Amino acid sequence: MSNKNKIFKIKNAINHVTNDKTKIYGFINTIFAFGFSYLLAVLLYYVLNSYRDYGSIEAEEVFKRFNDLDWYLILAYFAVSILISLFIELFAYRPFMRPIRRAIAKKNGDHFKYGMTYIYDGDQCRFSSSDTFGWGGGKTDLEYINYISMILIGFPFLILIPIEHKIQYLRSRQYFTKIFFFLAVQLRLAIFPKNADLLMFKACEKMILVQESDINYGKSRYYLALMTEKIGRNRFNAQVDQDMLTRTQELLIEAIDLGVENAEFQLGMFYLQYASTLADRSVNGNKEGVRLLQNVISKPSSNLGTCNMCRIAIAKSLSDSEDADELEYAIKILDDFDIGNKETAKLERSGLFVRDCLKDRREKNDAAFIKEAFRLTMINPMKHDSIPLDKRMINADYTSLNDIKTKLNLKLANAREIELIKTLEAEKRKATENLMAMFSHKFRGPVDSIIFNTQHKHDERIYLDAARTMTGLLEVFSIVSTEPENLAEAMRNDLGGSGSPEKTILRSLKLALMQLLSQRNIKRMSRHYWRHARRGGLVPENVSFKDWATQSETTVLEKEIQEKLEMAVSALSIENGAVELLAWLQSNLFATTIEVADDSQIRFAEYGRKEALLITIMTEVLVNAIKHTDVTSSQPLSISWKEEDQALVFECTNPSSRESRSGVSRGSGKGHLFLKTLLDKMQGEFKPDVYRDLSSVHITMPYDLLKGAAK
Amino acid sequence: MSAFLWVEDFEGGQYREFAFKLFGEALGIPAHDFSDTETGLKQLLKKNDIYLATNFADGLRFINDESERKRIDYVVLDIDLALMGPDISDDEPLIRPVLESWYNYKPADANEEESFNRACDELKRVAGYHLYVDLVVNLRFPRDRILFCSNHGGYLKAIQDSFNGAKIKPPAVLTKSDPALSHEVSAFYADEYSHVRRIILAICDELSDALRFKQAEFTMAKVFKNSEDTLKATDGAYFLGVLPHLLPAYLNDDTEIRLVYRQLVRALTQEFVDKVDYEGMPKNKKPFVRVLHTIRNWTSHDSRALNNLDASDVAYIFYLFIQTGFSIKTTVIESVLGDLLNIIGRHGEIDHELLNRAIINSIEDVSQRGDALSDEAKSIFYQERTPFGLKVNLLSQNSCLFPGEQKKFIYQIFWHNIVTLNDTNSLSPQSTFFSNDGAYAAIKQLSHRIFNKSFVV
Repeated sequence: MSNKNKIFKIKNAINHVTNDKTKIYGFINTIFAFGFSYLLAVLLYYVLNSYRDYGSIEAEEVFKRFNDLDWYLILAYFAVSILISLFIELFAYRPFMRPIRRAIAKKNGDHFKYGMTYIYDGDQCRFSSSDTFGWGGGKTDLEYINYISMILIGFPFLILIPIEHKIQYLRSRQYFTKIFFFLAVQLRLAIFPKNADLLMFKACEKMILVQESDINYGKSRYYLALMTEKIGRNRFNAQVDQDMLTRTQELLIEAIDLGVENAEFQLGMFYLQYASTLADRSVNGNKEGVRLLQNVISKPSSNLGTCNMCRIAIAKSLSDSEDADELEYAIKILDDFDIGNKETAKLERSGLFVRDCLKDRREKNDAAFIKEAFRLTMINPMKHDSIPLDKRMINADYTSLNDIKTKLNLKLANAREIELIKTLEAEKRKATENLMAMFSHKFRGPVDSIIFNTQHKHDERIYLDAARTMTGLLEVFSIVSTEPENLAEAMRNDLGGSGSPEKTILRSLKLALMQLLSQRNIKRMSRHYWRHARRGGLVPENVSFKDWATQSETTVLEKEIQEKLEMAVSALSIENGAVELLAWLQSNLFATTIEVADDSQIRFAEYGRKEALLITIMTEVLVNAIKHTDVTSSQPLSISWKEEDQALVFECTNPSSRESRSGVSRGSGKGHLFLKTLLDKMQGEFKPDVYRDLSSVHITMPYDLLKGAAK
Repeated sequence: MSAFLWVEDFEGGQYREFAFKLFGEALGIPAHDFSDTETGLKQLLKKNDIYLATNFADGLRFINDESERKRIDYVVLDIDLALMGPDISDDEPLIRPVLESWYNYKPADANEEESFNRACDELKRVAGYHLYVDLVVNLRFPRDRILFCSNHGGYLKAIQDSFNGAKIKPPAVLTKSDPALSHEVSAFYADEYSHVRRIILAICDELSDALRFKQAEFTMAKVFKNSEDTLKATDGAYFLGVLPHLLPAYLNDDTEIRLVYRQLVRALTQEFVDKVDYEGMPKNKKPFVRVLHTIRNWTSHDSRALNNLDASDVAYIFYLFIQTGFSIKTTVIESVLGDLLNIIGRHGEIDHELLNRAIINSIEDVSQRGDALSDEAKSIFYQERTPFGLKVNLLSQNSCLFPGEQKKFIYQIFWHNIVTLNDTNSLSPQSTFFSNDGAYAAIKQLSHRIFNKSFVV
C-alpha cells in the first residue's frame, strides 16, 4: 500500500473517531461517571437524613453526628472519584502503557503512532478498540473500569460508615441481612417509600428470626416498631390503622423486655398519642404512658433532654384531663421545668422542644420551616455562635408553658368543684346500689320457698305467702330507691290491719330458716346439722366437726338431714303463735326465746309495706344470728321486741365463738352495711355488738314511724 | 389425659352442677353420675386425676406442696373463695400472713377479730387471684395452664382491679355457664404432651433422688462392651438432670410436639451404637436393648423415621430406657412408673392364640418385602436364621418400609425377642419372660400393656 494511500486512510480513521456521534458518547460517559459518583454521595446523605424521619432520639443523635460530617464526606468522595477517573484516563492509558502497546502492535503487524494502534483491514483503517480516549472516545473498557472503581470505592464506603457510628442493627452478625437491611433503608429514600418499607419490614423480621436473644434482637423490634407506627399512622389517607398500632405496641413491649434503651420512652409517647385510638387501652392508655415516662425520668441514666421531653409530654397529656389531682400534678411538672445552669442542657432542651413542636409541620411537608428548625436543633455551640437564636427558642418555650400553666390553673379550680359534686353523687349511688343488692338478696328467701314448694308439695298457702312477701318487698324497694325521703311518711300511713310485731317476727324467723335450710346454704349450716346428728344419735357423740365435714358417709347423712329439716320447717304453721315453731327449733336445732312487749298494740297491714320493711330487717338479722350461733353452747337464741320512751327496740342475741363467726359461715360482709343504710333512711339506729360470747344486734326505730304518733 | 387442680368452694352447694359444667365434657360423664356431695365428688374426680380443693387454704396448701404440685398439669381457679375449711385452727395460720401483708389485718388491734374478719371479707372476693399470683410468680407455674372461672360477671371487677393494681395483664375469666369453658377444659384434659412430660419429669426427679441415696443404680455400662469408664454413676445422674430440659413447658402445635418427641427419643437412644454387648448383658435387658438399638439406628440415619410418635410411644421408649439403664431397689418409683405404664396402654390379657397368629403374620409380612433389597442384603435377609429385627433393619436401610411404618416395628421387635416359634409354627414362649421371677417383672408388665396395639395394621 502506498504511503499516500496509508495517510489518507489514517485521516479517515481520525475523522471517524472524532465525529459528533463519538463525541456525544464520550460526553455521556463522563457525565455518567460524575453523575454516578454524585448520586452515591447524595444517597449517603439521604440515608442519614432518613433516620431522622423516624423521630427517635437515637436517630436524632446519629443524624447530629453526621451533620458536621456529611458534606465533607460527599466532597471527599466526589474528589476521589474524579481523581481515579483522571488517573486512569491520563496515566494508565497514555504514557506508561505506550511501550507495551507498541510492542503488541508490532507483533500483530499493526501501525502504532500518536499513542494509538491503527489496524488495517482491507481498504479500511480503524483504531484498536482498546485505544479510544476516555474524554472523547467510545464506550469501551474505560467505562467498565470507571464503574467498577465506583463500586469498589462506593459500596464499602456506604456500608462502613454506619458501623463506625454505632447503628446497632448494622452490627448484625448476619452479613447479608445487614446489607439487605441497608439497601432497604436506601430504597426508602422517598422514591418508593411504600415498597421500601415493606423491604425494611422483611429485613427486620428476618433479623428477628435469625438473631439470638440479645440487644440486636431487641433493636430490630424497636426499629420495626417505629416503622410500623409510621405506617399505621399514614396508611389510608391518614386514618389510623389499628392493627398496625397494636403491632407497634407489642413490638415496643417486647423491645423493653429485651432491654432496648429508648423503647420505654417511645412506648410512653405512643400511649400518650394513641390512648384514645387504641380500643383496648383507651381508659388506661394515658396513665400507662405517664407511668412509663416517669420511669424514664426516674432512671439515673436518662439524659437531661429525654427527661425534659418526658416532662413536657406528661404535662401536656395530663392537661387534657378533667381530674383535679392530675391537673395539679401537671402544673407541678411544669414548675419543675426550669432552665438549668448548663449551657448544653439548655441547647438540648430547646432542640428537643423544637422537634416536638415540629411534628405536625413535618407531616404537612413545610420544608422551609423544618429546615430552619433543624438548623436550630442541631446547633453546635463549639462551631456556631448562635446562642441568641437559641435563647429565642427558650423564650418561646417558656411563653407556651406559661400559657399552659394559666389554663391549667383555671381548669383545676373547675375540676375541684366537679370532683366534690361527683364524690357526693357517688356515695349516694353506692348506698342505693347496696340497698338494691340487699333487696335482691332478700328475695331469695321467698324464692327458695317457692322452689321447694314446687318440688315437693304444692301448698297454695305457701305460694301466696311468698308472693305477698315479695310484693311487700317490692313496695318498700320502690320507695327506698326512688324517694327515700318519703319512706317515713309511707310507713306512717300503714296503720290498720291484722299484722302485729309477733307475727312479723315469726314470719321472719321462718323465712330465715327456709333460706338457711335450703340446699344452697348446706355448707353454712353444716355445724347445725352436725349437732343435730349427734343429738339424735345418728353419729357417735365424739365425731369431730372436721370428720363430719370430710367423711363421705357423714356428708351423705348431712344432705339427708338438710332435706328432712327443710321439709319439716316448711310444713310448720305460725298462724297459731310461736309455740309450734319454738318447740321444733328446740328439738331439732337450737333453743330459742321470743319476747314481745306489744304495749301500744302496733298494728299494720299483713304483707303491707310496713311489714315488708320489718321482715327485711328482721330476716337479715336472724339469718346472721342463726348462721353464727355457736352450736356447742347451751345458751338460747333470744329475740325481743321492746317499747321504750321514744322508740321501738328489736334485739337479737345469740351465743357465738370466734370459730362460729368465721369460716364458711361468713357471707359477703355487706349485710351490716345494708342494715345501717336502711335504718339511716328510717332515722333509726343499728348497733351491732357481735365480737363477744353473746353476740347481739340492737335495732332502734322511731316510735312514730310504726305507731303513727308519739306515745 | 392431663391432671388438674380445681379450686372451687361450692358456696351455693351446687356440687353436681358445677362439676358437670366444667368436667362433664372432658370426662364424658353424664350430669347425674356426678356426686352431689363434697366427699363423693372429690373421690370421683380424684379417680380421674382431678384434685379438688374446696377453700383458699386448701388450695394454698396444695400448690405449695411440691410433691402435690408435681401431680398436676392444669389449674382451674374460682375467684371468690371461702377462705377456710371446717377445721379453722388448721387453716388460719395459712391465711393470716396474706391478710397481714395485703388486707390491713392488724393482730395487735384492740378489736383483733373485727380487723381479721374485715380483711377476710376483702380477701375472699379475690382469693383466686392470690393463688394465681402464687402459682405464676412464686412457683413458676405456666400461666397458660391456669383457667379462671367465676359464677357470674359480678366478680370480674374485683379481679380486674387486683391485676391492674399489680400491673399484670389479667387472664381471661370465663363464667361457669359459658360453653367455651367446658370446651377449654376438655382440650386441656386431652393434652397428652403435658401429661407424659409431667410423668417423665417426675421419674427423672425420683430416680435422681434414689441414685443419691443409693436406692437405685445406673447400670447402663452392663449392656455395653468396655464402658465402665464412660458410663459411670455420675453420668446417670447427669443424664437424668438433662432430660427435663428436652421437654419444654410450652409447645405451640403438634408439629413441635412431634419434633420434641423425636429429639427426646434420639437422646434416649444415642448410646446404643455398635458397642452393645448382647452376649455379656443380663438376659432380662436384651429385649429392651434390641428395640433401643434399632431406634437409635433409624433415628440417626433416616430423618423421616419415627417422626410420627405419640405420647404413648414416647412413654414406651422411655420405659425401655429406664429399665435398661437403671436397677431400682425402692418401691417409691413404682407408682410413677405405674403412671408411665398407664400412658403406654391399659393392662390387657394376652391371648396366646392371637399372639401366635400375629407373630406368624408379622413374619410373613416382613418376608414378602425382600425383593427390593440389594443382592448382598438379600443373601442375609433370606437366611432362615436371620432374626426378625435384623430383617426389619435391612428393609429400613434399603428404604423398603412405608413412611411412618417403623413405629409398629418397635413394638413387634420387642415381641420377637420374648417369644419364638417352634418347628410347627406354634408359639413357644421363652418361659422365663412370663414367669413370676422378679427380674422379668418389667418385661411381663410391659407386654401386657402393649399387646393390644403391637400388631395393629
